[in-house]
Amino acid sequence: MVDFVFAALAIITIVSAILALEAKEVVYGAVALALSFVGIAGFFALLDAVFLAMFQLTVYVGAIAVLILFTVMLVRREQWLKIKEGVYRTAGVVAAVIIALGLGYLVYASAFTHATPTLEQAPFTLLGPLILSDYWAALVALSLVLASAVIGAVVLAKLERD
Amino acid sequence: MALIRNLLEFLIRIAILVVIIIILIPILLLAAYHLLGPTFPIEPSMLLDPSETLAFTLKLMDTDLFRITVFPGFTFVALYAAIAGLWERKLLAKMQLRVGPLYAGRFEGILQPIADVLKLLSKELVIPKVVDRFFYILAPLLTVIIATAAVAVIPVTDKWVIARSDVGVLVIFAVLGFFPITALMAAWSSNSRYPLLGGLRALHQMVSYEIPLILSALAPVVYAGSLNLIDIVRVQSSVWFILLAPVSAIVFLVCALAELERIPFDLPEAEPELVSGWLTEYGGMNFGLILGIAVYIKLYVLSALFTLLFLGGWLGPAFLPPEFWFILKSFIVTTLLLIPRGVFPRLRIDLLLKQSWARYLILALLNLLVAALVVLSGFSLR
Amino acid sequence: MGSDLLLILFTAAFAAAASVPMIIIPLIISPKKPTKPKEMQYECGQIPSGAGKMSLMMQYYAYLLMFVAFDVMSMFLFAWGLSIQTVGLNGFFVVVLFIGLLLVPLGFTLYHAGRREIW
Repeated sequence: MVDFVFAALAIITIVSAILALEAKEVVYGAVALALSFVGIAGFFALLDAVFLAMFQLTVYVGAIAVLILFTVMLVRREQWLKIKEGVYRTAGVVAAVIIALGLGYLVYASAFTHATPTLEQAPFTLLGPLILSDYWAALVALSLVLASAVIGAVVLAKLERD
Repeated sequence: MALIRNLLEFLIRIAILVVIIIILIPILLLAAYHLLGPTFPIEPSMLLDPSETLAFTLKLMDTDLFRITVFPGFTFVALYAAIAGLWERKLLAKMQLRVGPLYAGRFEGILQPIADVLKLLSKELVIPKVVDRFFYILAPLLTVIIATAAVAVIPVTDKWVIARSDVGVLVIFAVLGFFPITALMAAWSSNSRYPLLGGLRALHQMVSYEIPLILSALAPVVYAGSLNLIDIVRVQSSVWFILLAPVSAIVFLVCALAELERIPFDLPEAEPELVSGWLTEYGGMNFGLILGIAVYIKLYVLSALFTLLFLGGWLGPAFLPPEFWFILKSFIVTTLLLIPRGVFPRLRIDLLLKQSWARYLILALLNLLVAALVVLSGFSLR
Repeated sequence: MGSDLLLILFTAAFAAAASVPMIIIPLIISPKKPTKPKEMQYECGQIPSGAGKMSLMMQYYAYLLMFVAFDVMSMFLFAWGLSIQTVGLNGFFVVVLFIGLLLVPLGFTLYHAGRREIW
C-alpha cells in the first residue's frame, strides 16, 4: 500500500514538474508547479511528518505557487517564446545528470543507508522547543533574510517608478 | 416535425444519462464497500428483515462512508449551504423592506433552493468561444472540492467528525490557501477583462487577510496548547476563548468576511464596477457550483471554525444534544457574517489592503503575545 | 495519522463525484442553441474589442511578497505556540525578536504605500 502510494506520488510530482517546465502556456506550467508542490507535501505526509506537510501546503502552494502564478499571468507570452534553446538544453541536461550523480553518491556514502529508523514517531510538538533553543540563531537569520527580501522588492518597485 | 425531433433528441440524451449512471454505479459501490471497512457485515437479510433494520442503520451510521457522505460530510454541508443561502436572501429582504423569495413552497418561499438548482440544471451551458476550456471547467469543480476538503476536519461533536487530525487548524489554513489559485484559474481562463480584474483583486484580498486570520486563530491554540480542534473545544469547558482573546475573535470575524469576499470586502465581485468579478463569464450550473455551493461551504467552514475556536464548539447546557448547540452557534455566526451585506458600503482597494496589514495584523499579533504572556505566567485551563 | 489525511482526500473525492454530474447533466438535458453574441466575452452593451488578458495591477506586488514572508513567520509561530510552557521566557524573547525584525519591512512597505505617488 505504502509503496503504491509512494509510486503514485512520485509520478505525480515528477510529471507535473516536467509539465511546469515544458508547458506551452506558462499559466499551465505554474499550476503544474503547484501540483508538484502538493506531491512533495504528500511525501511528507507519507513519512508521518504531518506538520511539515501542512507547512509545505501553506507556504509553497498557498504563497509561493500563487505568487508565481500571479507573476506569470501578467507577463506577455511573446517575451517567453524568444528564449533560444539548443546548446543550453544539452548543457543543462549534462549538468543535471552530474549533479544528480554527485548527490546520489553523497547519499550513498553517508550514514543514511545504514541508519536504523526508530519505530516510534517524534511528535511535532518537539519542533518548537528545538527551533527556539538550539537553532534560535537560524530563526533570527531567517527573519533577516525574509525582511531583506521584502525591503529589496519594495525598493526595486520604487526605482522602477522613478 | 421540429417538436418530434426535439423530443427525440431529449429522449436520446436521457438514455445516454441513464447509461452513464449504470456504468458509474458499480464503481461507486466498490468505493463505498471499501470505505465501509472489512468488519462491516453486509447481508441481504438485514435490508429485508424489519426487526434488524434499526441495528443495520445504527451500524451504517458508525461507518466512515456515512460520515463522509451524510452527516458531518457533504449532504449536511450542502443542506447548510442551501438553508444559509435562503436565510441570507430572506434576511436581507426583510432588512431592506423587501419580501425576498415568496412563491416556491407556499410558506415564505422555503423551497426556493430546490427551484434554483432545478433551474440551473436545465439551463444551457454557455461557454464563450475565447475561454481556455480546460481551466474554465476545472476551476468551479476545484473550488467545490477544496471547500469540502476543509469540512473533513471540522468536528460537529467529539463523536461526529470525519478525520480526527492532530493538526486540524493547520489543515483548514492549508486548504484556504488553495482558493486564490482557483480564483486566478477562473479569472485567467475566462480571457476577458472583468474576470481578470476581479481575480487579481480577489487574490490580493485573500492573500492580505489570510495572515491576520491565521494569527488570530493562533491565540486559542496558545491557550489550549493543541492544534486538534476536539482538544481545543474540550479545554473551553470552563471558559470560552472569546472572553480570553476578544481582540483575536473580532479580527477573525473581520478577516473571515474578507476571505469570503462579502460586503464590505466584496471588491472582487463589486457589481457596479466589475459585473460579477471573476465569475463574470460563468453561467448555468458552472456558476451555481461556485456561487451556490462552494462559497456557502466556505462560509460554513469559517463560521464553524469560529465556533470551535472561540465559542466553545458543541459545549452547552445538557438539556439539548451537543449537535444542536454546535449547529445553533455556527448558524448565529453565519448570520453575523451575513448581516453586513445589508448595512455597509464597500471599501477602496488600497485602503482595504493597507488596513489589513496596518491594523488587523498588528492587533492579532498583540493579542497573541498577550495570550502567550498569560500562559507563561502560569495560567492554565487544563 | 496518515489515515486522517486519507479521509480528507476521500471527502474531497466524494465532493468531486457529487459535483461532476452537476456539470454533465446540463450538458445532456439542456437545450443547445449557440449564437454569436452568446459566445462572446461579456461587455456592457458594446462589442468587446482588444485582448482579454492584459498586464496591470502590479502596484500591490509588495503586499504579495510580504504575504510570503509572513506566511513563513506564522507557520513558525504555530510551532512555537504549541510549546509555550516548555520554551519558557527565553523562547518568548526570541519570538519577539523574530516578529520585531519582520515588522521592519512591514513598516517600510506601509510607509511607501502611504505616499500616494508611489502607488
